[in-house]
Amino acid sequence: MNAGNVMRRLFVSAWMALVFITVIWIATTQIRSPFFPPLPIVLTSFSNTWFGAGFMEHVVPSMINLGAGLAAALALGLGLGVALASFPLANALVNPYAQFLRALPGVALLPLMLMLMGTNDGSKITLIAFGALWPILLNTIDGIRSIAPEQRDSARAYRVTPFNVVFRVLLPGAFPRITVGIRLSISIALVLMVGSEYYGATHGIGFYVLQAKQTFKTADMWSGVLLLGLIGYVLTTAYSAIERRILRWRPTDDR
Amino acid sequence: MNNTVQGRTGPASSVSAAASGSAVAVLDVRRMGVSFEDGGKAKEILRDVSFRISAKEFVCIVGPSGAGKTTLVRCLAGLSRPTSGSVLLDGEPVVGPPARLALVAQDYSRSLMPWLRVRDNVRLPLRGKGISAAEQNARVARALGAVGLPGAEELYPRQLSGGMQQRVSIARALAYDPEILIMDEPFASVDAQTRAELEDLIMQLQRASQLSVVLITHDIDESVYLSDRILVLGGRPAGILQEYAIDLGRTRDQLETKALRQFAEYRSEVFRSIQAASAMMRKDDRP
Amino acid sequence: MSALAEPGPEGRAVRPAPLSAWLRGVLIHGAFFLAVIGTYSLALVLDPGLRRFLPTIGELLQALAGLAVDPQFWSGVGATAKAAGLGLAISMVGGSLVALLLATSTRVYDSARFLIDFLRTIPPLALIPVGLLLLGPTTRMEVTLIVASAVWPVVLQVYYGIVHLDPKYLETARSYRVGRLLQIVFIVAPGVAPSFGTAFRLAASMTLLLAVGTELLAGSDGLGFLIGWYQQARRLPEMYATIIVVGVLGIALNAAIRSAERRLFAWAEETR
Repeated sequence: MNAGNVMRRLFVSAWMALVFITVIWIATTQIRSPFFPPLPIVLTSFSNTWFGAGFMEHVVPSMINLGAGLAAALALGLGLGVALASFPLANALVNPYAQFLRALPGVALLPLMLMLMGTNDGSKITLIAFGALWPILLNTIDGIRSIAPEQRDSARAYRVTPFNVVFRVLLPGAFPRITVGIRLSISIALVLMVGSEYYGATHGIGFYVLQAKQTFKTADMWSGVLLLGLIGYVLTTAYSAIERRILRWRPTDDR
Repeated sequence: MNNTVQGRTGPASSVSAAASGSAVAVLDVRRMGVSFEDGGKAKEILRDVSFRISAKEFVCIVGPSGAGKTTLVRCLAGLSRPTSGSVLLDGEPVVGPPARLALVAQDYSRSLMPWLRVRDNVRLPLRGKGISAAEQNARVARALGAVGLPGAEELYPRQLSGGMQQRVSIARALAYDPEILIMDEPFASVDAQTRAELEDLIMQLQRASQLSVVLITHDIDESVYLSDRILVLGGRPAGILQEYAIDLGRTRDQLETKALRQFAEYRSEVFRSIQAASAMMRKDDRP
Repeated sequence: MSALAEPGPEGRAVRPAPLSAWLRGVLIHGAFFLAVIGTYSLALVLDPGLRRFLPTIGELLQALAGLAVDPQFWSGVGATAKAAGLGLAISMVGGSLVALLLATSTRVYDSARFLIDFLRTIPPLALIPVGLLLLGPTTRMEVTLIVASAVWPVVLQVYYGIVHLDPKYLETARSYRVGRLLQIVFIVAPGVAPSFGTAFRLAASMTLLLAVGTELLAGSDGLGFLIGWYQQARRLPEMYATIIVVGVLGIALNAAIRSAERRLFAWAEETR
């Protein structure tokens, strides 16, 4: 592919976003509404806050909670998933409860978490992990059960050791399903991260946005919303890339 | 290309020793019976199945579809336990998958792990068993060379044709270094040309090693072409109905061997016996 | 397979389980349920300190019974249902329209993709301060926030449904000179319907979660508001009871839509 072609494709995929930004730019500078400060001011606030003190004070704690919660959910979900998939009776017994817990809106548990564990980071991480756990767990179980019996048989016939069965047969074989759960869990974790920072918090991006709103610093508020959007976009895009790499073995990307 | 084995293997006289069963039995199946519970009523699949496989012997088990061939394979490979009787490998009762037995299944696309590269597929059975990584890789390379796929280590199964994938699953069995190889309709899902190539490949590999092979098939030509001995499985419940020693020499050729008058005779005998078995089963199915 | 056999989850004919197996299942699950409740109650007896934040089963049942006759609870249910229902309806209609627009040409889709990907990955609750600032703690704010998030899965599902429609069906229809209207009624609409169903299910469960979350965090009327309010009033059994009600609502909604999907789109290969 030549350079001109690349430029054209870039243009096709970006022009609408550029128009969108331009329209917002012009609109916000024209209407002079206190709710919609001009875009340049929002961007200034963005760079001042998020490339300044705000990074260490709010972004880092938020990201640590998100990462720790997601990591815990992933480890627990995969581990419990493998265990439950190996014991059909245990799975049959526990599954309805897992379905129920998945259906609970994680945010509704915020007051509960606050009560049980206080407003520290531990309670936030627990909440994020709790919310993100169920999609991973349930999809891991489904994924393992969807592996062809012939594949399990051939692992058994060759006396493949338990470690290798888990890490080279069950988890990779279940991954096309597991990844559906992980994608869901990432967005749930983001929601819970933000939610937990609205409800009894002293730092974090969500806290910053809410405080900016309460003190009527609308430019700061919008810059926080913009940052949350960017984080969401970067996380999802990065995960898609990881997923494509792991699923290289599949004939076609049938999504 | 035709992997003919002419001139490479030992003298034809060794057949008689192997086929006669006078050698030590590697696999010894004694009055094996299998029944399942299906919706409250017992269903008997196999009854009183007895046979012995000797070292370096090539035995085909043929039978009409639905005769219980897969059930038999699962019991031989230690994946299922027979309801009665026993399976002995080197004199030891088989209670789980034995270490010196390898299984090649019909459906390569399901028995290979599509998410593992060829190297990791062949290597998987060797991992975690005290074999050094270097030795594992050497065995993988050797096995892939033996099946005619040298250097395919880094590919994923989907990048290979069906016949090549079945070669990989044969390589996996070889790298495992078994003394007995169980093959469940291994060539049923490949085209005719590939099938002939794979038949010659497996024959050549067996002749050149100490391997005993038990190959399950419904293809009569294939069974006569490959085996030292044919067991016909049939009836309801199924048992061994007939046994044929196939004396066509150790060196065989897709064209010459199949053109022999003897070949045609074996073929029609086995054919008649299977037809009789099918007719019997159809009659039994009627209430 | 016989056309009369009801297709099961994997497309196989389902054999009805014998009554005894069914009874055994009920017994095992019942016994396990009792064991869970027993363990929970025992823990509360052994460590009375837990009772500061965990209700006994008796208190929980009492609270559930109390909610059933509490007009405040029912008005909460009504408010949540109204906001979620309105949000769902707008998301379905709006999302389908956007999807139709995107499907007019791949060029349109390529152009809009970046923007859509960005907008749909904004964490839903991030917009709460904005919503509060612009609209206050009202149902209108709640519906707006719900739509801002729930519309995206609809857009993508319906779009994929349209795009992945096998052109062979249309070619066949054209070769038999089937009219344009008939093509839309008998080929395009049924072809897209299963993805529409999936979109509906995804959006519905998302709407409920967003409604409750927004009510809790932004203080608009509904079940989520009640959860926060019960906690602040230290009426813990009621708080737990409300959370359970929300969970049961979510499961029931999902199950109902799934069973409708199975009935309506039994012919489709997979209902994801």
